[in-house]
Amino acid sequence: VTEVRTITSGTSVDALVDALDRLIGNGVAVVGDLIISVGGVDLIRVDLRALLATVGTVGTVGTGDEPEGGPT
Amino acid sequence: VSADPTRSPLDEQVAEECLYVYGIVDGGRQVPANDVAALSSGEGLEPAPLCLATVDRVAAVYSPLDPRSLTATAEDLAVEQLAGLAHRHDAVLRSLAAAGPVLPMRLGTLCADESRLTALLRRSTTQILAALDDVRGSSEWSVRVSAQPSASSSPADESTGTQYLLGRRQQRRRAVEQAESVARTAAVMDDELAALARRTRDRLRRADTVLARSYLVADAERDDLMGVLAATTEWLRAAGCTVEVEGPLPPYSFTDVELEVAP
Repeated sequence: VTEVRTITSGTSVDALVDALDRLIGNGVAVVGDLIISVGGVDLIRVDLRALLATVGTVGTVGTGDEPEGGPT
Repeated sequence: VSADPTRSPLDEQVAEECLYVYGIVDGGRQVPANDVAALSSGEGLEPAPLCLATVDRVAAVYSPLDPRSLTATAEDLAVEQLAGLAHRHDAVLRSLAAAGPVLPMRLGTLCADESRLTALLRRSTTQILAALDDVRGSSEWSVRVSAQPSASSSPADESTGTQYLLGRRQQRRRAVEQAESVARTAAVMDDELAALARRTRDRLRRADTVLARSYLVADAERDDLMGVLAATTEWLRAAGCTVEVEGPLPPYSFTDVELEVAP
């Protein structure tokens, strides 16, 4: 019954969006200046959230925790 | 992203090395040394060792990282690179979760250096220990049930228009009945899993989603969990549904911790 999926570049977009939703949408968040940026570009945390909205058709989460930055 | 006077001067520099932080574990844990090479080679990423920053009873697991190697990910948003990063993050956390409780960091959490990381741990030790206890002995299980659109098309070779219309109506009724019994079975499955779980959390839904939820289940309940899954997935698959079960996973969906960096 158990299917442990791992994420690779061959992972379908739907599965990748699922995985990213889990890896970005939750977890320990650090508030403050721990996140650093390079050459004025904030590193991936912000951009990953935007990508989550653009990489595929993202549905809605029942908790109302929708990804930001989706196309309007 | 605009200028913020509270930001550290690091924001204006191009740091040569920073720390990529995967998660937080009990102090005194060892990093699985033999897995380091396999775990740290995500696609498009340089292999990097796993390290521990320990403060008393808690420890953060990290890899040194040249932050410039991630700027392409930030600007080009390449799916392959992102998948590589997610793969490494996920592989490290699964390995850690197999040997004890772990609090996953959000994907993409970077720290300037080890002294800042240990300062963060020291400042938040009580909060971290409580969060570790909250998930201790439990794993996340994710269940997604999707209904496939009915494969049958229009009734073939019906000689008259009336027969054709009757056939279509019958087909539609069967599809509705099928969808109802799928929804009922999925609801029973969800109820039984939720009864076993310490907590549940809804997941992303799509147009074809019947059930998409994560369950935090004590490892001692795993046999019962398997029993529920086996009983219901077989029926749902026979009814044409796709059932995807992932687990045991690190408690990604059940780690809601916000740590504040000292001002």
